[in-house]
Amino acid sequence: MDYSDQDYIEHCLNGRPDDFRFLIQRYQTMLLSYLTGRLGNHSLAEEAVQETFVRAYFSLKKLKKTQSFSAWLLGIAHHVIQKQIYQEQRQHRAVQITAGQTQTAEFSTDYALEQAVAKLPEHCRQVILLRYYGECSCKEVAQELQIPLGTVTKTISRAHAFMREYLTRDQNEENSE
Amino acid sequence: MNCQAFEENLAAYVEQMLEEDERQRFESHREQCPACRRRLEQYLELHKKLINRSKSFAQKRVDDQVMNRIVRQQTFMLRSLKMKRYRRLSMGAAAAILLVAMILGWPDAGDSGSAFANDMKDVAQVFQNARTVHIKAWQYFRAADPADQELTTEPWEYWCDVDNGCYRRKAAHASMSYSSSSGYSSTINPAETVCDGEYIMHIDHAQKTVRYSKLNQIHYLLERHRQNYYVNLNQIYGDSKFLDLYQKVGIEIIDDQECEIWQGEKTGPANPFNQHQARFKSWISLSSGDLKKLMTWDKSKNRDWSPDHDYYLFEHDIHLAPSVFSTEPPADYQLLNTKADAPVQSFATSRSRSNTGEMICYFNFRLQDAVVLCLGSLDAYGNEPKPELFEGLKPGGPLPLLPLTIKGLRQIDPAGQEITYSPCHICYTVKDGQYYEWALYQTDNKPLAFNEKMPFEVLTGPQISGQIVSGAMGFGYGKIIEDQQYFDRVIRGIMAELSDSGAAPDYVTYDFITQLIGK
Repeated sequence: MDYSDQDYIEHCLNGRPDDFRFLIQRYQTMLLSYLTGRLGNHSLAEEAVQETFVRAYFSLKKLKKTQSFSAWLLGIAHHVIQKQIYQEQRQHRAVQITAGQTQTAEFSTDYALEQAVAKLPEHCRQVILLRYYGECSCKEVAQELQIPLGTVTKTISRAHAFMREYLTRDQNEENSE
Repeated sequence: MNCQAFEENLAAYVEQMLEEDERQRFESHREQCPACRRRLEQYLELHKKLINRSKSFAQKRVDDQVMNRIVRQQTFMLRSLKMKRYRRLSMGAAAAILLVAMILGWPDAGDSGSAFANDMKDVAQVFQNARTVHIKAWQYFRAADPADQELTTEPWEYWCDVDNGCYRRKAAHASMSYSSSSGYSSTINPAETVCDGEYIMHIDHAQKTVRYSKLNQIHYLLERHRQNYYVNLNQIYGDSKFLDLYQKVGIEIIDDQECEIWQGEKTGPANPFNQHQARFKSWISLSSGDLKKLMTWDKSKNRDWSPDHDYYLFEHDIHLAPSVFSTEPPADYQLLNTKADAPVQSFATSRSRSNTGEMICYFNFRLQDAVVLCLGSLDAYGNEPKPELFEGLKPGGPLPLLPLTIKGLRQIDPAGQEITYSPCHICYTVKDGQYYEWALYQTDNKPLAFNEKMPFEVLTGPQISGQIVSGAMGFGYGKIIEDQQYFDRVIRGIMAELSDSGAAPDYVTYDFITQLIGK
């Protein structure tokens, strides 16, 4: 049978910490895409994903039973990257002058789609991340976030319009340069 | 159905979640309205893109790495908790001993429970992993006259935020002089250094002046390592090698807490260039496992033991207010320069002079069994650099014939055996008319491990006359090169920085250097 997030969390807290792995597997793609969108850099994002999960693990006790695990995780990720962005800015120059590394060049249109997702209003972003990167059906998204199904589909439609606008604006800017 | 409702229902339609009648209305609007048809196409396009993207992202898995990190961190936390448990266990053990004692008589009261005790290494470990540190101490100064036994004290304090490369160090320096007319005299100059990760503020409290220098980004990276190293080794317990010298000698109560006393003395050939001897004594709380107090004494040639530092506050992983690392000048202090015209901190870590010139050693890094140095043979006597000296040099071959150079490095291992490192050329870089020679020093003997950190004796000498002068140079960073990434980032980064072209020579790679070591 398929365990819910809450089941796994309870397992972790009751002496089966290995079950945390299942939560990682469930949400790593979602988190990686979100953080890639925010940081514009795949390897930094990967580091931030790890950090987010580690922090989440050691704070599991603080998660309330009624809270959505995925939303909570995204909140932690947000804190992790605040710090990382700050550090990255400082090291920006060091990376630039370092031969053979193209980390900064990576901040490019490659991740335009993820950046568009990251730019969405929070409630839209959660839905899109769960639906596409978390591979949830609309029904599962509704369950996870405890909102009506109709709201989920309307939110997805709206998010699409928002992202389309962001992506075309981005493209136009590029063309006009 | 109007266009707005159509747009709202796009997702429900594509996900096949519309009721039959709604679907029909949706589709009939689609037939009538070209703009909405276009919207649906665009929706499907983005929908597909997102699904494909998520598939490519899903290939990256981090679960193993995360689980490993969790296990590592948990082990570390258990270690810190260990002491608390020890307290409970030792009480349990005491009760058990009483029971047994009634039957067998008193056991030898000695090291009951010592298997659980924190020793100096555990304490060191905690500070090694600390992200922030705050330490307070008293510094002792002797009078200049050896006959005078009186001591003066000055406050000493140190804060450090490893992750952000920030530190602040308050320490006094004594300068002593002797003149036949006025005899011995000594001045104590309290000073402070604050680094916010970008600027370093040097405060001279005696003169009430402030001077700034600026870190470049490579320095920032190095500072982070250096602070880490500083905290780990120097500030707390001297050299890591000294940890083995500590022995448990007794128990004492400090601040109502029972503390174990650990004591050690540094003697022997640990530092052949400095006749100082040092003694350490530390008090570790039995209830918390924390370091409560640490005292150091030193003894130089022909003098008695004298207190050096008395550390009385150790804090780690605490929140440090950003104001601690603020580089705003104190009120009423005279500014010798401003942040705007602060010079970029020189890369130089040590200098050596001879009658043919002055040499500056910029860096040293250790590979497993070799040292990478950058030598800038600066000429203090106004001679023009001679580019022809750098012509025809081969990597792995001899160094250029500079007026002054480091001909070798020498260390003495704990057994008293001598280890010499000899140089070969790696490359040179030119920046603003200044030539920088990069050299690799390696040894045929078994090199000393990094944790047996020993000063290098540097054999410098004017190449041309062939005479070798030996002298000790402080090697500031001495950071061990862990991997290729670090090599690219730091060594190649500095090469690029010290080069007009802004790039390191292509052939100087981690692999290349490792191959050179093989030869």
